Amino acid sequence: MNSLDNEFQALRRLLALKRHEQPPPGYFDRLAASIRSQLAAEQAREPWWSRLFTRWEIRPAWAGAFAATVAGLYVVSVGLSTNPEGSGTAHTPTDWAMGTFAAGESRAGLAPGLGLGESGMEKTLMPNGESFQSASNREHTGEWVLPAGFSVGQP
Amino acid sequence: MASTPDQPASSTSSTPDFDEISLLRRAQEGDLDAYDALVRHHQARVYGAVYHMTANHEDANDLTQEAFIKAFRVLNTFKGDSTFGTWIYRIAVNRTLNFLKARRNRQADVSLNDLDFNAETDPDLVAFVSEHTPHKEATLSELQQRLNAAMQKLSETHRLVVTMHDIQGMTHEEIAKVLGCNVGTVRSRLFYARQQLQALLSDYVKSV
Repeated sequence: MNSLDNEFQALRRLLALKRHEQPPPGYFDRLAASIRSQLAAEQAREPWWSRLFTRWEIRPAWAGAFAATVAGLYVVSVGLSTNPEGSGTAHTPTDWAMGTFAAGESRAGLAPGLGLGESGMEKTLMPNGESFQSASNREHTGEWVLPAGFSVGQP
Repeated sequence: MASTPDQPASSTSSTPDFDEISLLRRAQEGDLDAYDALVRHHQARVYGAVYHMTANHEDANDLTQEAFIKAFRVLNTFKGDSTFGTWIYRIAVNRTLNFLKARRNRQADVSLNDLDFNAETDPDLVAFVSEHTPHKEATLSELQQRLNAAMQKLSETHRLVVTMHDIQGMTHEEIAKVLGCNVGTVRSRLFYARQQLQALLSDYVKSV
């Protein structure tokens, strides 16, 4: 006890009386129960997506995993939607995801592993009817090879 | 109940069977059982601080509940820079100070808790009454009334440091952490608060 405390020793002994002021018996059990029931009611009103966001704030890895799953599903769905019915061999979702069919893309100057399939892209990228294969057989100049009539707008 | 209302802050978060970090993590994910355990562990000290500041049980009850509910809503923002005990205590203190500021313009209702059974037999209190109080006939209840009236005459900041240090037994360093000020400020506030209290209670307290 320092000198400051000694100077007010009598006052401090009187203040100790306040420690004996206690709420009614059982009060703290009721207080905790009341807080809990209010929070439970609040949680019941909260929409499910709000709870999901809350969890993501705590564990960003969960958000990353969710984003990766959504991105994967997006790639698969884009692949499936650009693969017209009955036009050659359809790639399986695994093919799209792994990029195992993308050998021709590298020759065409496309970044490997982007998941662009030959049968799927032929009709999309080649509006003049030129086949994707013929485009990819041109000598590679290190630039993007685009068929005639197909231009990329300036940004 | 895991603690008494006026237990020092440092002793409330390190019980061997109380894993605060794990409870906090679960509570942050919305686990009400875990949060309930945290509430039960800290509620008495938080309530005690609010009660001694307001001198009103009903107000203390409301403010304590509000503090814990508000804390749960923003539990994700708790980064662990301090203990959960210090954090919830700070939330409760801030809410109480705002409440008292709003209450300043109207007469405060006093609703004191009863003294517990041990007060009558507390050797320190018995000795105090016989040695230091000129009013030998004063009952503990009268002393309680006078003491609370004097406390309410202090400014909120002065009342707060007296509550935290002299009633709840917190150290100057712990108080500085809660209030976000330096230890010197805490010491000077405590000195002036005690001086004022001593003057207000001069007919009950003979200095030694």
